[in-house]
Formats: sequence, C-alpha cells, structure tokens
Amino acid sequence: MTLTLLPPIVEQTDKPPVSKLTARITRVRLISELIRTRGTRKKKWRSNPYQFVRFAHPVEAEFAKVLTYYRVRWLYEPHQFPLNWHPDGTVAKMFSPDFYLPEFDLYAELTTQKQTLVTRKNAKLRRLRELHPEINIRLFYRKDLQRMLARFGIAVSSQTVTPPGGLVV
Amino acid sequence: MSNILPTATLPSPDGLDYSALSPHISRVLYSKEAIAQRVTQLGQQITADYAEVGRELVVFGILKGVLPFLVDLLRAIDLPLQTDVMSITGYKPVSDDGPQRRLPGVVRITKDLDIPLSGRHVLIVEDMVDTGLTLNFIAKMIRLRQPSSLAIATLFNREANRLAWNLPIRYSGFEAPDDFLVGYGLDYREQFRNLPYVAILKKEIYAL
Repeated sequence: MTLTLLPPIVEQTDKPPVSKLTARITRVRLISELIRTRGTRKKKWRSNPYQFVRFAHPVEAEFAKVLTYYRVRWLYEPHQFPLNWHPDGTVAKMFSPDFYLPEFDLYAELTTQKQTLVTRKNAKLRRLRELHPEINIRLFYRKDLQRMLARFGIAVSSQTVTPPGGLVV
Repeated sequence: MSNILPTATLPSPDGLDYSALSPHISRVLYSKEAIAQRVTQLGQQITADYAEVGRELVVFGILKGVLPFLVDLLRAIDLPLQTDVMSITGYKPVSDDGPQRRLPGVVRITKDLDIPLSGRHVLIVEDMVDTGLTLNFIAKMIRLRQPSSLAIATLFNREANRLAWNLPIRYSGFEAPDDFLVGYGLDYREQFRNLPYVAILKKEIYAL
C-alpha cells in the first residue's frame, strides 16, 4: 500500500494547508475490503455486463447481446473522430460510432430513425470516410436492423431518445 | 401458428396448397426452377474445383435452414465426399416481463460433426450469410480442427450488412435483396421453411 508513505494529516497553522488530494484520504480501506468490493463488482459484471454501459437506444443493447452471444468482442463508443474544426483550431463536430469490433477491425453505427431523417448521419459518415479512408465502418439503417434482428426474434421500434452514451463505471 | 395463419384458401401453385401462407408474402423472388438451376450450377462449379481432392472432401451444413439447399447441392456434386450436419443454439431474446430475467448467454454447439476434419478439405454449406456472425463462430471452431482448406457455399449472400467480412465465401447462389426472405429452408419464427420457392415476407409481419 503506497498510502502509508503519505505524510500524516495534522492541523498545523504555521504550515501551508495540505493538498486536496491528501486531505481527501480520510479512511484507509483494508485490502480484504477492497478485494471483497472487487469480487462483488465482478459478480455483478458477470451477471449482467450490460448494466455498466449506458446505451443510447435499447436496440444497441440488443445488438451488443447478439454480438456477445456469438462470442464477438465489442466496445461501445470507444473512439471519437473530429470531423470539423473552428478557425481557432477547436473541434466543431465529432462523430462517435456506436460499436467497434476489434476482431474485424470494424466500426458499426446503428440508426433507428426513419430513412428520411438520416441525412445528417449520412453526411457525417461521408465526412469520416473522406478524412479516414482506412476506417471500416458499416451503417445499419432502421430497415436493416428490423430485418436483421427479426431473425433473432427482436422487434425494432423507431428512435425515441438519444441521450449521450458511454461507460458508466 | 394458429394466430398467424388465416383460414381463407387461395388458388394453389404447383399443385400444392401453400395458399394459407400467401397473405404474408408480398411476392415470390425466386421460383423453384430458378433455384434448382442455380444449385445445379453451384454443384458443377464445386465438382470442377474439388475434382482432384477426391475422398478428402467433407461437406456439412448448419441446421435447420440449410436442409433443402444442402440436399439439392449434395446431389449436384459429382464427387465422392462425406457429409454431415451441425447444429448450434439460436439466439433467444430475453423478455423483461418473465419471472426470472436471464441473459441470452453464448452460442453452443448442440450437434457436433461425427467426421474428423483434420487434413481434409471442408466445405460449409449455409442458406444465407447476412452479418456472418454464426458462420464466423463456426469457422473459428472448424479452423481449430486443422482442415487442409475451408470454404463456404451459400445460397444467399447479403454483403451490405456483413460484420464478419473475412469469411472464405467461395460459392454464392444469389445476392440477397434488402428484404426478409422466407421459403426453401428460410424461416420466420420457424414457419415458411417448407415453401419450394423463395419469397419476400411482408414488412408488417416482422416490423413494428
């Protein structure tokens, strides 16, 4: 434990205040307690790994389950690609594909919007391919998902909410 | 079954009564004759390619959708070969309203091959390759058994949705359109497999 190497927290008026990082350590957890917490976490992960990921749409969760079922490793929104920049150099527009499948070196983007509403997404994808022609990416439209997931007995509804996704750990 | 199929009877094609399924089908995509012709061509192509391989060829299909295609293709290959079938568990979605909510788990082989594959030329027969996830799993398993070569023959190929793009698909019957196909082994909820032709399922049947 490196925590024992830290200086003791003692109130001394003539000395400068301790750093925030040091002050926050008010309780040293025992190793056994840490192991127990880690074990509980692992059990939770094994019982339902999907609860640790905040999917933007239920169909993405179903897609992840299908991938896991067929023993294909996946990462949810692991990379972000800048598409446009402001004159001062800051990023104006980003694109984050929904899934990355390391085994196939492939990104998958899912959309449940109606065909008429996917113009913006298509434009983003076009721009991404312009900037990074080496990237393999597949866009699954609503009709593709409906047909593909219907084979697995999953019904696909239209998009209702689009909260930001990401890992919730 | 009973809540899907209507009771009305319609004129029957081919002398057989498939009319009960007609209301669910928008149109017939490939007739029985067109399929037979293409399967024969595939059989001839495979025969030519594997002519020198002789007895080392093993052809197997993945149950259940492949059955009609496998049977017809085997009869169209004019070579000594060994054949078998493999079965794997299908994906079953989890319903939230069930008493015990369980995750789908992972795919398992429920019926393995009885023929050893080591050092032999293997041809996997499949009815349709869409995302390629099923075949990717099977191809990985087969490669572990160290065959001399591995190739895939599929009746329908849909590359637009392919995730497993590195599959060795050497023989492809038809390019599948962006529709839900049924018949000639292809099913929707275990129905329509018995149709002798391939048809397009109406969208309102499978989409919300």
